[in-house]
Amino acid sequence: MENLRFEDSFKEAFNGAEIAPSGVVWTNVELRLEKSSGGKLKGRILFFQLLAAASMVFAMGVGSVYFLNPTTEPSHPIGVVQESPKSIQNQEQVSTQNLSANGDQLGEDQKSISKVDTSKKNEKRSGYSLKLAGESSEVNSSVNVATEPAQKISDSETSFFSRALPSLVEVRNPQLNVSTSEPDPGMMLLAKLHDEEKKLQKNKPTLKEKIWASLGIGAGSYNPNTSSSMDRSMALSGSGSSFAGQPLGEPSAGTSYSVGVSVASKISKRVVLQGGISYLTQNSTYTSNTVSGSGAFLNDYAGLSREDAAKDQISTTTPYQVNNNLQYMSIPLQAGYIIIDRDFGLQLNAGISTDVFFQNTLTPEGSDLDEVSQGPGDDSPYRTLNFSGLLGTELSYKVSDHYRIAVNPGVRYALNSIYKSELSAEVSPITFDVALRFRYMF
Amino acid sequence: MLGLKEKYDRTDEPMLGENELIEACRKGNRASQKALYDRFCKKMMVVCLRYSKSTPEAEDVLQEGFVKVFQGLDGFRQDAKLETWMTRIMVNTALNHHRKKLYLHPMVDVEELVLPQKEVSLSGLHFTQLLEMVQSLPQGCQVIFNLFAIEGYSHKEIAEMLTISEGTSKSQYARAKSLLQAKILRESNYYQRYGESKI
Repeated sequence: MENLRFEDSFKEAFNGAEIAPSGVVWTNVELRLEKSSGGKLKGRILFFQLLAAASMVFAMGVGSVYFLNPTTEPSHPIGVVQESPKSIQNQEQVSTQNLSANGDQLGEDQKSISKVDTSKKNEKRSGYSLKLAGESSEVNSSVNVATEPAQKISDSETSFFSRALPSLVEVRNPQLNVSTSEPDPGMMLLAKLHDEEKKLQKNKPTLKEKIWASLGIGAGSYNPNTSSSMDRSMALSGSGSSFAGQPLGEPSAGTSYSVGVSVASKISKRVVLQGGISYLTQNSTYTSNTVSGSGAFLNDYAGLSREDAAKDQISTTTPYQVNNNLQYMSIPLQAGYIIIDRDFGLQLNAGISTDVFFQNTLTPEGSDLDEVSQGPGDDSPYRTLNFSGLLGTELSYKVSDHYRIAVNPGVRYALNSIYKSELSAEVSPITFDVALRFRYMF
Repeated sequence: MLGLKEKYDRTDEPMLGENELIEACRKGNRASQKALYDRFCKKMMVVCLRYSKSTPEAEDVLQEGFVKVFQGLDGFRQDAKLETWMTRIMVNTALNHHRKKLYLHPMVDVEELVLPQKEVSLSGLHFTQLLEMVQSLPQGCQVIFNLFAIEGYSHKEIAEMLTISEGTSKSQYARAKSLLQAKILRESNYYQRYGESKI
């Protein structure tokens, strides 16, 4: 009893007792909950991404099948005979025998097949009707002639009726009333379709969009893409210039703008070759805390040892921002593949661009240091000719007979460093941009 | 400066509808989850402290336990009180938390200790003093004392939970009880001698 009281008193002592935990506990609980709900969200996002990707693949698959096979034969109704004349003649003999052999088994209580509706109208128009022996339990697929002798059935008529019946209906003692007064409807239909197809081909508009010219402007993000293993002092075009020394950190991504004209021509139904010329400017910023009193540019600086540079030309100052601007004349040459060629157009482009270096301008922000520029030439650290790979898509819409408006998202990747090979610095910029183009079609 | 007693004073907040709170928490409403946490965290902290040796350790268990509570709230059938359900989760979390230690220091039967003849009384002792005494018990004794004396599990149930023999559970409990009684007696003598508690 005493022992029980001991436990009870302990239980009682803790009953309703409270001690506040530290605030960190809830923060951690919340973080864990966020993380787990984030995981669910990520899962959901992944699901939708996969769904979208699957939809895209499906749509492109269907689209390519459709567009790569534009001359698909028009689908024929079930009743139309597609065999060659020879096979039709062979079948005629067999079916004629069947017709005569079963001619006596015609029943009075026959009803028309209504489900063979695709050829129903033709049959009715030509006086033929396909009938079933309603009460017979024996399945007999041979064709019977009800009203006329088998010998009188013409070649074309027998070929029409001796064709394989569609498996949509279970035919039980089918019987046929044949009238030879009108021509075979199936053959008539075939002839008609053939004529219509010829007409369509004649009336097809001639391909207008053969050659076109475009005027476009583009904007996007620019990543200097400096090599991490390189000497930091050579990381950017501005390093070693008259004011801009070593960047303090990785250069930040900047912007890229372009304006240009292009001409394109279709070299086949789906392949396009296009070229042009455009002005390209790329901007980025970085922070520096060094200045150079000599006005030496990068190549001069590169010729110095670090010790010399530190001793003679470079001095440290308070950190300041430097705007780095590169200008090029770009001559792209691209091949395009047209996926959709209608009012709405979709095209994939890939190619190469020859970029002629114009000028590099370094502008210090918020300081009294001068702006400096560097052009191409032997004394320039920059290559005059640069090559970039281009990859992009073009979504366009035909606004009139001669005009299309297009949006081109794409990526430009420098195939070589913009610096000359004798410098240890390597910068191969990547640009993601979207261009808006106005296309005039001749 | 606040004394321990003031610091750990019980608070009586205006209660919101428990069912509404549960429903909102099930929908992932963060404010409701915070409200539920605020409502029960102090009581649950005591549970965690009873099974732990220190406050940081108890807070780890509390944090883990509350995450389980929110994640498992969909499975709460409301056939028990929410507080009881949450306490069970905290106890299980604490046991899992300490399972490694229990494995490293396996509980064995201990000899029956001679219980103090003098009747021990908890009157005049604050629960924080009792908490300190419980925390000072050896790991195995602490867990079994909590499970038997406060949670109300039988020795058979404890033996199944901790995969030990029923005899081990009983002997560990007896040891815990005798140690606690000795501590309480010491505390009571101090109180009688000096007229006030140590805290």
